[in-house]
Amino acid sequence: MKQQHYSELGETLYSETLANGLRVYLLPKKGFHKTYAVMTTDYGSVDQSFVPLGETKPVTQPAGIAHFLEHKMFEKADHDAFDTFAHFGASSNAFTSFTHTSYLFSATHHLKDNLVTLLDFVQDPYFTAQTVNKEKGIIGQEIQMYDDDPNSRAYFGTIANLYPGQPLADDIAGTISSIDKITADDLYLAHKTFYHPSNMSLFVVGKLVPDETLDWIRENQAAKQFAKPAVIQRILPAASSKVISHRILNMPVERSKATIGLRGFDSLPTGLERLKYEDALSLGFTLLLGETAPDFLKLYDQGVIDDSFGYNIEIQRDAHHVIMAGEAEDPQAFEEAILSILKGFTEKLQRASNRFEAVRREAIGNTLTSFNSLEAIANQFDDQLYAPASLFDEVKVINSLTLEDVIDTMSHFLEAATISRQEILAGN
Amino acid sequence: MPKQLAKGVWLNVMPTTQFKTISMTVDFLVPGSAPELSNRILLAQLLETSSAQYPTQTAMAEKLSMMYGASFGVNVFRYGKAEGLRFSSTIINDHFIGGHSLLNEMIDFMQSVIYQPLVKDRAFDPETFNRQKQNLIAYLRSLNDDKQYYAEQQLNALYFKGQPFFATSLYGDEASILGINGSDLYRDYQTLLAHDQIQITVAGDVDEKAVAFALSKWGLTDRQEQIENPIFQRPVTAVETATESQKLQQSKLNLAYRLPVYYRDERFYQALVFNGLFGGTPISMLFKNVREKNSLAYYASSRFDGFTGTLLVQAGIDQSKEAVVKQLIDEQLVAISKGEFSDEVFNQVVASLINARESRLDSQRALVNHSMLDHLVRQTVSAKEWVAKVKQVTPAEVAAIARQVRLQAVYFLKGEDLK
Repeated sequence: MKQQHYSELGETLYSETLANGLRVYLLPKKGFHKTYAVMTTDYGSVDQSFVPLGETKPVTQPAGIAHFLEHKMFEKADHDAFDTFAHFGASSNAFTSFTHTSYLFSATHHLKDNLVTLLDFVQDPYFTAQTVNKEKGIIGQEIQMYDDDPNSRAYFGTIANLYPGQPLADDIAGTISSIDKITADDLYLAHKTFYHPSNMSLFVVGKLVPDETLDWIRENQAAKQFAKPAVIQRILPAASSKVISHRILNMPVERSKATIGLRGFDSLPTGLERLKYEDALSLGFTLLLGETAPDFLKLYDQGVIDDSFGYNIEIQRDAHHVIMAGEAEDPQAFEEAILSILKGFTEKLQRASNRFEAVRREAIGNTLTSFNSLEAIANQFDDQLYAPASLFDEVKVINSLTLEDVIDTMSHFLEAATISRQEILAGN
Repeated sequence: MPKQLAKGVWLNVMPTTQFKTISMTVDFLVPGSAPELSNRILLAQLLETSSAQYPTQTAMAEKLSMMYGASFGVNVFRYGKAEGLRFSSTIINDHFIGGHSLLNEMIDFMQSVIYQPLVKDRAFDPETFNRQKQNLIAYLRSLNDDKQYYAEQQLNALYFKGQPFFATSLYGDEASILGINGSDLYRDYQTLLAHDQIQITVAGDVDEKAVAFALSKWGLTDRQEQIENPIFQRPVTAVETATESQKLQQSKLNLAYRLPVYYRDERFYQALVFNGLFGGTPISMLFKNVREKNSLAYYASSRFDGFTGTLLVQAGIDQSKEAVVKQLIDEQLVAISKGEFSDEVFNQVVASLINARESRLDSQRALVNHSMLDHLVRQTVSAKEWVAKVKQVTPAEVAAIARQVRLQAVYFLKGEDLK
């Protein structure tokens, strides 16, 4: 088992790739009472077209299938995995993003039983026409709930405007009509292809003894047969630089919302350099639009933005973008103000050297604080996106950044990025 | 053990090396009233963003950033009849940031923002006051765009009809907030500082002496213990119902029941297990029957508030399914009251509750809040004692709890067709 100590964090991460390809990470946390485990497949809502494992012809499955599969994994022929976890006192859950699906539990007792339950229920699919149809009503209600939520519409609507015609534009849960087409066979096919151990990782953090925990996992995996690992062939959408630059959405809201999306077209570095890129971008946006920025105060005092204003930098497999959003009395004024700040970014950043240390310290403090939370550590960990680096290297990376790095990275991103604006306005 | 710094002023320090941070809260507590809710939420909004020493958000943000991204927030809370204004801050432990000691700096910062607000002529600075009042009103309006929150608020108003403190949102009400002026609010704030019961809690790698010494500079004075007993026993009433239509895809069905069992009384732990079995967990009867078996909802759950003896149920459903879902909910209640549930499910619920309680020991915020609650009800219950009490609960006791549940209010937010 590989063992890596991170002195800046006071943490030691243990890792091993099993014979079947499953990547295992163990992080013991002294003083903690519970253990949190998350098993993740590199498969999300965007992975609709692919060549199934062992076949040669590509297929395209209905939008929302990864999320549907996540829901259906819990139900088995004679039991529900929720109940097995509850039997061992664990709470369990799952979530699906654009590029990943994760299954998790959290428990203060019976770690071995719960780990075995997790590995077994994720690796043992059971779908029938009847159980699949039953889920359509539940997910239908989930889709409608999010359709009524203006924040969700603002975010996913902007992503859709940034990537029109691509799988990213589809809602993670799909639509009522797309999920209606999903069959048990579709789910088996997706499971066979994407839930192979070589496409998955398991992160366990909290109260645990590394050697013993790894033994349990090894023993469980050694007793199962899997097809030979093969490189998954995803059919990527045709490259398109098309972006919908502006869209208005009417909803019965009390407050209007404005969202600006910036789609990155620059090529990203790999490994530690990618982590550095992300952190530099984050510091850059904080210097321009964060609470310490004079422009933030000016817009706040003018009532153009308020406390709801925020932004997110997102880097994922094959895409990266920045989303800025807030409630606004005048969404157009909001958008123009933000875009004009971004336009003059070089000069503004050069004048921000006196704030750089504060912003860097804040980023370090936020990263350290996230290591209090077992969930935050395990959910944010991604061993592929920045491989061989990971979020454990973040404090080191932030410490090494200079204002010049930030300006360079911001130029790299902003000069190639395409803008999309969306407003949610009161109306029907 | 909590230490009394002055009459009515308590400090509880919880030394632990489990976390990378040190967390501090300063709570000002008083028996609540509806106007006070509006006052306090506006104070929270103002004091979180300005003070004499840090007059703007940027000044305050820069100070916090230099303290390695220390967090700082002001918020309001309500437990039964008690209402609190909470100042909270979290800093990084010295040894992760090259030995910078932030503890005294944080305590001084807290003193400065609490005791030296941004004031002109014995009133909150008018420009800041007006801006934050406007922001708060905008925030209240945006809350109504969250339909789950909105439906719960409407139900609450029905259930606590005639009890304005409980019927009002924790975030106050728009009309009262509009009527508040900067000089009255400043005067009220001075009263709050001088008379409210104060609860200071610190958790992290610190020792009590150092904290108490730093706090000695605050000049904390004697005051009354304000909260005798926070429990509110709501009387039984006739069932109130209301239906409202809005242009929505999903409808929201919310029900409120009276369950006369109160926080940490003899049968409190039985009520917790009952709630876990009824709708408080993903293995509950509501989740199994409304969602899993009948595919009627994505969420269908219950919550129990022991400070007011209230059981709340909420479900997001199709507009045509109101009657079906209501009946299903009622059937689950009847089934529990007849003891119609398996030992296996009962044991799963108990195990889930124990897991949730023990897991809160891993949250610094939960530790701090537990300490405040212990003091509020003047009774300490450790996680171990809590677990022992939950383990003693029997299926027959849970059935008996279900028989005490009385429906009191139904609110239905009906989604109209969007055509």
